[in-house]
Amino acid sequence: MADTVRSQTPAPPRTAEISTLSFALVVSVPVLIFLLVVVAYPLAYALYLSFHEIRFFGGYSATWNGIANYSKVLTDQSFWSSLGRSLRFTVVTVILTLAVGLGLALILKHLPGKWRWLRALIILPWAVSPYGAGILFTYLGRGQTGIGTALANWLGSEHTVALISASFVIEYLAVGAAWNMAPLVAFFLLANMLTTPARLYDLAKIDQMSPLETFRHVTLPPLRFTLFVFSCITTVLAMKTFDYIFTATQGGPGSASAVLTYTLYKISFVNLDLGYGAAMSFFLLAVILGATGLLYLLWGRREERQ
Amino acid sequence: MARIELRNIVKTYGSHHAVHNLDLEIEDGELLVLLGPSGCGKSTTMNIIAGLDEPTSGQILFDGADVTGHSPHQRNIAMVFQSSLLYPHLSARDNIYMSLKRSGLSKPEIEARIAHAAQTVDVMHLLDKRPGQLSGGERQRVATAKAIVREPAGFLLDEPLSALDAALRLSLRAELVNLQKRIRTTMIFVTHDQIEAMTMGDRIGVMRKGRLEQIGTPTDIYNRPETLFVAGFVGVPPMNFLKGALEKADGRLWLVNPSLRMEITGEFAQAAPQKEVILGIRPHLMRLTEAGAAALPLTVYAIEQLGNEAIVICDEPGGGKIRVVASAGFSAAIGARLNATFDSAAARLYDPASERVLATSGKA
Repeated sequence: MADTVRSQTPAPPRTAEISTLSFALVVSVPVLIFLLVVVAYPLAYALYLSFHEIRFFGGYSATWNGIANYSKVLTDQSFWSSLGRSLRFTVVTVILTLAVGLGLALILKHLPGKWRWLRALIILPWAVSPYGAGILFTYLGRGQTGIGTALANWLGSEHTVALISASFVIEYLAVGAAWNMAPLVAFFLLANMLTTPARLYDLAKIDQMSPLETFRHVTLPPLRFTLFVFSCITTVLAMKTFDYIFTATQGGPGSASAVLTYTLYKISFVNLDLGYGAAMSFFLLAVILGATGLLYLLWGRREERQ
Repeated sequence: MARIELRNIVKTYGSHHAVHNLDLEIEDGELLVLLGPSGCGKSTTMNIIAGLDEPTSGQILFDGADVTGHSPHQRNIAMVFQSSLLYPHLSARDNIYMSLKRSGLSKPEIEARIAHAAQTVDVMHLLDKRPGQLSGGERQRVATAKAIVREPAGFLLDEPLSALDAALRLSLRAELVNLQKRIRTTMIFVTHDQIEAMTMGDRIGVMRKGRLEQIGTPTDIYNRPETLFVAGFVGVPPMNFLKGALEKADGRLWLVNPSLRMEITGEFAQAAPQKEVILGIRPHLMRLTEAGAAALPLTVYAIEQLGNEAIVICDEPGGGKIRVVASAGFSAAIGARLNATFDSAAARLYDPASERVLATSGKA
């Protein structure tokens, strides 16, 4: 009986529905294949190079030399000094980026109504390519054209002040990197901040929290995960920064800003010592993985539990 | 615990008047409910009492002392916000502790106060959980513990129950009233829910557009609403309104409209005749009857069965809707014709121009 009733009512047209997983696969498989080609293949090739001595003179040749390249890196003075510069640049960049991003987000949040459009404008520095930022900060940092001299003159001094100097060029470059990246951080932090109910600030007032306590207990908690994520992202970006430093200082003055990526570039593409360069680049990879792993162990795990 | 007084409070935001010349007195240990639709100024009033907002002009007194310039903490008020707001990353215990951090009490005293407050609202077993791990009702209790731990002069609640489901709201309502009577604190409760107001308040202040429309006991507000707004806002089902004219004939006063001619008896019998009045009568005070001059002809629009009674919603000839409470199970076809009447002594008369109740004697 029930069957006859069912057969009389026309079945609704079947729509082909696919599961969430198959949809995810359909969308991402082309990208995965693309990544395989542009990432996995070069990576494997670099691994191959790193165990060989590559020569271009007298015809191309690749000679197996085991871990000779790797052990040579560990005794190479320029590797250690470049790594030191990279770490210094990274630490300063990460701290500056997060601090400036947080400061910007706080300013943007408290903008009065008619100035809200600045929230959209503030993203502009992020839209500048690292190449462009490099050129910009070269001119800003030089003695003759730079902002240092301009400031000194304004204060009544006749001196030229070069911000790009051997002792502080790393910090100066970090300022530029933070200028480039902080707006994006500010944007995400602002979005987080706007999820905090305004009444929570009233609760803090009733409890008579100091501004610092209010920041710690009301403003900061929803931002902590975002701060962690951006500390990882900025760490990776700072460690692998090349184009910005290449255009800004070419590793100079002298080799004062020759970070690991710049040294790698010189070894592989100026000296054409591809095998040695490839081996050294794996140390960079290890440092990046190690740094983000450490961040996760020390900080990220705690944020995740909440 | 304190007696709280508001004297001529005005609050403006630019050209917008949020609160107009508000005078209000809240007795020590009283539960006052501020009732009104959103935007009526009740939350602004509460913020001003709390010290979160400064009045544009006027004075706030706690036990006769001027506290207008004092911070919330100096006033020693506690507040529970909508959805029982707590610091989300702190445990219930630390949330409660934050209320006492600036109190200058010693550590053992603080521990004892927290334990006592937690026992009062039965949250001892929840103290180590974070707000995210608590249910809506548990969060409400922890927020209450956080408020009472301070032994506040005034305990302010800003629609704390509005985000909860109906059953929970019902039980927490009784819990809050019970608590307020036990610890005898001065409590001000803001809500837009008139049932909440009626069931909880010792007195209710009905607000509209920044003004206090009426203040009184729930019985007063229900039986003797002084303005059309209060009459229409309070009571379920809502009060019925009939338009008509007041005419004097044979030394008696009559309400006359094209479908009704009814003598006005009771307190309004001496009111001055006027061309337009609005008569308000509660649905419970109307009854179905035979046709006649003092009976209102109605057409059935819908019937709501409530189990213990039925509400018959009808169209009246003047274009309005009239609700009549009938006995349970009452049935009639939609569109059926009925007649209803009421005792005019139980009705209230309002002036449509001023929206206020008519003077009971013609002279005033």
